[in-house]
Amino acid sequence: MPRPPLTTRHRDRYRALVVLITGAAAACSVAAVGAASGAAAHASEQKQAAKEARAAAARAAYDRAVRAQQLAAQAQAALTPRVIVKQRPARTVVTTKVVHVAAAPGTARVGGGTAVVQQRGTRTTVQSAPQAAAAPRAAAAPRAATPAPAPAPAPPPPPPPVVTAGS
Amino acid sequence: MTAPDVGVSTWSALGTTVELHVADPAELARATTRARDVLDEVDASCSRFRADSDLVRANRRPGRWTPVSPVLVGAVRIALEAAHETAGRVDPSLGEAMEAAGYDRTFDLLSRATDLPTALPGVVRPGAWREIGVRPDAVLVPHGARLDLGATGKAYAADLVAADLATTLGAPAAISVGGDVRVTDAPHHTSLHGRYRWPVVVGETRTDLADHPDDTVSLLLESGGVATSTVRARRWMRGGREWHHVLDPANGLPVAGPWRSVTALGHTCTAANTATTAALVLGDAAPAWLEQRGVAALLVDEQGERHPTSAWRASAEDDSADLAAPRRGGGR
Repeated sequence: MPRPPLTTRHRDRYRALVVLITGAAAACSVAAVGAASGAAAHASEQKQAAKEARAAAARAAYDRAVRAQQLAAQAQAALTPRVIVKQRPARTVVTTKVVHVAAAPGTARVGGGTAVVQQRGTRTTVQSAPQAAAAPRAAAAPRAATPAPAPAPAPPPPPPPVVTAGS
Repeated sequence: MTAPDVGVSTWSALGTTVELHVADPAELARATTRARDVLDEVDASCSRFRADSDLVRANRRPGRWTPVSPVLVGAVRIALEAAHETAGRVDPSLGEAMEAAGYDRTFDLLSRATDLPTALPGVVRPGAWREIGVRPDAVLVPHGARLDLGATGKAYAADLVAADLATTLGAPAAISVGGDVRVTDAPHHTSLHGRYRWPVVVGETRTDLADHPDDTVSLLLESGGVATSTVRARRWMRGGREWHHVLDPANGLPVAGPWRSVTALGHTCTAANTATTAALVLGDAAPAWLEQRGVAALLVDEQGERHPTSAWRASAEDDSADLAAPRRGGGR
């Protein structure tokens, strides 16, 4: 048998109850959500803080590593100093007179020079052409008459030779 | 007769070894200081390996006059004279070809072996040296050319040092710049010390001097200079090819003639070096060319056989002279 329709009084009463219940439920829901949010927020905050702490720690570690690398580089640089090319002060020491002598006309004209060439293993002597006038030989000093002339001193050692090698 | 004491100093300059011998050891320190100063100025003026040298500045301004030091002016003048003397076989305008071949830094820094290809040097302009301009205070490098004084630079430096020491020292001296030797010819040296003869040992390379003494030649240099040019020194690999520093001006490639070294005398060290470089480039024609000019020279072929010119062989010395006697003075 279908239920008789609610009277207005009952309907309002039920509606109030519903509202009441619903509001309470909503309130509870809100409270629950808020509580949940708070908890989540707190957890999130904690999580964020941890994250930030990790990030800070990572940055600090990175900075330490960079600093250590810089110190190592400085130490290495101290062992192997960087060569700095400096502009040398310009000085003029060669006079134009010397240049005129060294670069006079005819300087590069081939020929000339005077030398005695000793072929290895022989005593062949040669002289370059054109031949320069030989220096006058010095007159030997007169020797005093002695019954027993002193032995000639040993010849002095030859000076070290100048070296010429191809280039 | 006093023993011929000689002061000797050795150092590095111009990318090579320098030796200075002074007949009076008391003057060695002063002579060394002056020689160092002269060579420093040559380096600052004429080096193609320094960005701040006068030569490099001039090369960077082709077709324009560039103010430069008198030292470079002198170096370019005698380099051009050497080019005229040899009809261009000794060519001061091969800088681009040399750099393209890899010799673009001092030889100590040059990589001995590299797979890098040679750069295309462009056309080698035979005769470009004729367009090089020289004024008392400036030089002009033509377009398509680049100054490189390697063929005469060290010899010129030796002549400069000798000219400077001749006016400042009281004793004879001999200077070797990378094996290019010049002795001082000051008249007052001769009058005070007699005709001084400097013992000189000639080798193809510095290694030969120590390792193969039997292959060396000894001579007593009285005046002028002596130089040796060789294709055995300063060699490097580039682009799968072996290069050396004596280029043929006709094509910019290393000379490939019959001579592995040439030694020559000259009234100056530049004259001697001009003859030796020209001989390597001339190849088979070198003996006749040297004979025509009366050059005393010794050519060594690839088999090590020696070919002296008649001036080198000619005997004008008294054979009874004792070559082991003291070398100072005229009483021989």
